[in-house]
Amino acid sequence: MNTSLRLLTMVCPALAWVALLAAQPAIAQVEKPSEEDLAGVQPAFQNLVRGRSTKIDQGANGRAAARAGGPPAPQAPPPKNPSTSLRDLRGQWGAGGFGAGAPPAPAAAPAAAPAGGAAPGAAPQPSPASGNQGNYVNALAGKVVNTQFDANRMCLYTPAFLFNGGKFYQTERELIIVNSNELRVRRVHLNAQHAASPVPSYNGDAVGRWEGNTLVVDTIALKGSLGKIGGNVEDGYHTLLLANPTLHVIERFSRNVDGSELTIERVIDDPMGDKPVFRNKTTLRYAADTFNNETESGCEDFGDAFGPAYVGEKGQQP
Amino acid sequence: MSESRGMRDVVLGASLLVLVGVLVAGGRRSGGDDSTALAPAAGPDISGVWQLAAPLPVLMTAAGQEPPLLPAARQVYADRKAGKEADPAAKCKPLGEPRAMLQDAWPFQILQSAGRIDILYQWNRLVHVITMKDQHGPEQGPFYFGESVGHWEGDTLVIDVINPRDESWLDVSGLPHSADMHMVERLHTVDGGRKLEVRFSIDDAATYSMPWEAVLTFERQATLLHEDICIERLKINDYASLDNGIKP
Repeated sequence: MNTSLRLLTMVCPALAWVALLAAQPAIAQVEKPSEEDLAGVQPAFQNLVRGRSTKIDQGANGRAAARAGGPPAPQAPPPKNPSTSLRDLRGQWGAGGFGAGAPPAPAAAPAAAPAGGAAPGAAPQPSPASGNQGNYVNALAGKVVNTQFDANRMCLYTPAFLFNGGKFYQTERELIIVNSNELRVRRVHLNAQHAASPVPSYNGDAVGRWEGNTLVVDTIALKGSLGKIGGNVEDGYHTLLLANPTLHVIERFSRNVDGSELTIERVIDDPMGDKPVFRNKTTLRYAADTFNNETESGCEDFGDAFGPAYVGEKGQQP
Repeated sequence: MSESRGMRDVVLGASLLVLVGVLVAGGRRSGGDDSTALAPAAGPDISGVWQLAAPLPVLMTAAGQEPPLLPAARQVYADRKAGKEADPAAKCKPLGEPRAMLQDAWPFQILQSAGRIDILYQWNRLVHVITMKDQHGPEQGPFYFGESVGHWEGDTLVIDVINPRDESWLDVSGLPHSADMHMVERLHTVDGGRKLEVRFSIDDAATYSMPWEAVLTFERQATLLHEDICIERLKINDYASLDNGIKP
């Protein structure tokens, strides 16, 4: 597998992540980088940005792997978390994507279909002529939209609760998830209370408590751009939701007895917005400890390709 | 006397009840599903949050000398110190090691498991992943943190790093290295676990006239890491926090 392809396999898991810049002036840069933008960028990253992608095959550990062809590898027995404690969530957990374990439940309070998207809960539809710009505007207005926007070229920050698998570490004080996608880190403070005045962050103010053998994680004070909360990964359409400080996310993590699966049930509510309550369920599979170093650097070079969108106006460098 | 014995019997009986209760509870905890006690991770425990004990603007050898730079590398170093080459940290590029550990205002956290150890840096939420295995894999790198494999030698974690990206600096001052650098890091706790000692062995024939070592000591921190997004600091021109104010 050549370097370009391997870089693609590293970044393409971001198909499970959809994001747009919160800064409106950066949109044009984000959606269609010019050749000038790409000048001097590493060839592998140019290929990434220009979309020379391949079919994505989600690996057993949740990280996408591009296959060049050939017969499928023989199936090995699935690994399991060796701990007998159902409160031990440590290990590598992966899935086919955020929300891939079950389709989104029908919206509790359906909103009107926005001009740039589709009604919540509706089957994915092709993006309208207004394109991503329209979707972005609609989402900014607090409306759920469907879009064909391809976030794997973006490397933008999304709320940390949006993850499709990763390495779980657990201490007395924290559950720490090192996301398989771009190694982004999520922290949940265990047996703690929300801060009195939490500062909005990509991680949010996330606290967890045990209800029996279920870890209930309550997250508030989120910031970030748009995150995919559902939809059909295969056809490239994603349901978008604008993460904002009023968003309230409740997740219930529960491990099965034999340690092979971890189920996450999510309820996402925006009490200050007009979006419906979103619910979904994801099942992650336990996997052996694996790591591909290429996960490290793909998006770290994004500043070279999208410097203007990344750090400010075009031509402005720090 | 008999009253005293009676009191003693009461105390003994109560103690037995407490002991039985503890044993029952303990048995349920160890055999049940509601345990919150986690089995220790494999290997000696070096996990925790660590931070450099004192500011270190320039990395020196273990003997307190300037690293043995070759002439060409010395010129590169001089240019960087003169500000003729942009600091990659100013573009939020991953710092690589050892520089990432030298950001004295920025703690890092070691998390460990049997197959993998992660070093999480607060600075721009960087993560250095070490795969616990003896041999490097094929076709790896270059990467900012290099390709890293680790193993235990007694109570010491030995990390073997190859294929680093040569644009990263070894320290804040701009100490250079090549893409052919081979670095071995040896980490172990000292002072009853209150400190972490890291010995860096750097072998880079393209940059240095001979292999050299640096030894750094970090102090255990009681705090947790916080979220830091470098590009957002750039947007508000918070340059000082990029390099601890060492540079203007």
